[in-house]
Amino acid sequence: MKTLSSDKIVSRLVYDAVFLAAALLLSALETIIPLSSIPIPGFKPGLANIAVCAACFRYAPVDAWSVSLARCLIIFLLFGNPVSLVFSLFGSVLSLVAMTVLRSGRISHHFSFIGISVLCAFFHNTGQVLACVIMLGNHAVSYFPVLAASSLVFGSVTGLILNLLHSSVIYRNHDRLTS
Amino acid sequence: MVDKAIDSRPKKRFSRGDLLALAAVAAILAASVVFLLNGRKGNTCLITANGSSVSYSLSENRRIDLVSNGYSLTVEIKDGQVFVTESDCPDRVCVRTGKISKTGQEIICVPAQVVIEVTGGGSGEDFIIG
Repeated sequence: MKTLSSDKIVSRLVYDAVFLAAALLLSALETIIPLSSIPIPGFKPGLANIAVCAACFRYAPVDAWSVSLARCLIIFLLFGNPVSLVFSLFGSVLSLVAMTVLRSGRISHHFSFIGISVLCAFFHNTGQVLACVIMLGNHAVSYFPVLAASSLVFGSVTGLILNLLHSSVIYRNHDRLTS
Repeated sequence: MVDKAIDSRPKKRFSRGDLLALAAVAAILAASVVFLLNGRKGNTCLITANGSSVSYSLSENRRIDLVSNGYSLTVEIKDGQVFVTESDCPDRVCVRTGKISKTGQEIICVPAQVVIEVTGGGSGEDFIIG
């Protein structure tokens, strides 16, 4: 006989799997839209962050870490680009650290997802600039202002989408989970 | 306990905290632009001609006449920039290069074997790992 707690565990697992699939699809979507053809490394809309943030705030940071790192790994396994993997990992890890801090403290209720998303995008891009500097030399810091600006713009867009998904996806039936 | 969970959720609408976050990122953006634009201006230039190099400060306006490899060039330092005003080399690429002032920028005259490079400034050296 299924107990309530095992239902919750299965539900969480399924949700995380769907978030992972969504993150992968959103990454694939970014290759289609012409924006990402600008030859600046890491100039992406960061749509996959929608799924990662959703996982983080619906459940816990560990879900966000799992979804994000699994996504990096799968994309590497599918397309086999080690440089790309290093960039993704640097960006994702820094962004996840920021997300974990925002989730854990008593500060997440001061923001809406726009602020959270902008900060995550900012740290993601900063991580990628850092990877660029390590691999290509100090002059790569000149990419930083452009990427900071892009994190401001794209982070707001992503955050807006998350705000719209607040009740319908992220906190759907959430009361049942915490009671 | 449910109330406590709801209290720690992010808000649904754009709020003051978001504005703070956006302002912080914008401030970092502005600071990085200012830092990168200023920090890379060089303060000296190294002129290599006839196999030897001499370093000149860019803060003093100066006019330097060079003869190298059979060609004569006139280099001028003015307002923190260095440029070649006259040259009798065949294609005058050096003159057409224009004014340089940032660390790492160079004016090169191949026939005369002259290299003018801006050095110093805040940016430091290149390093390549691996």
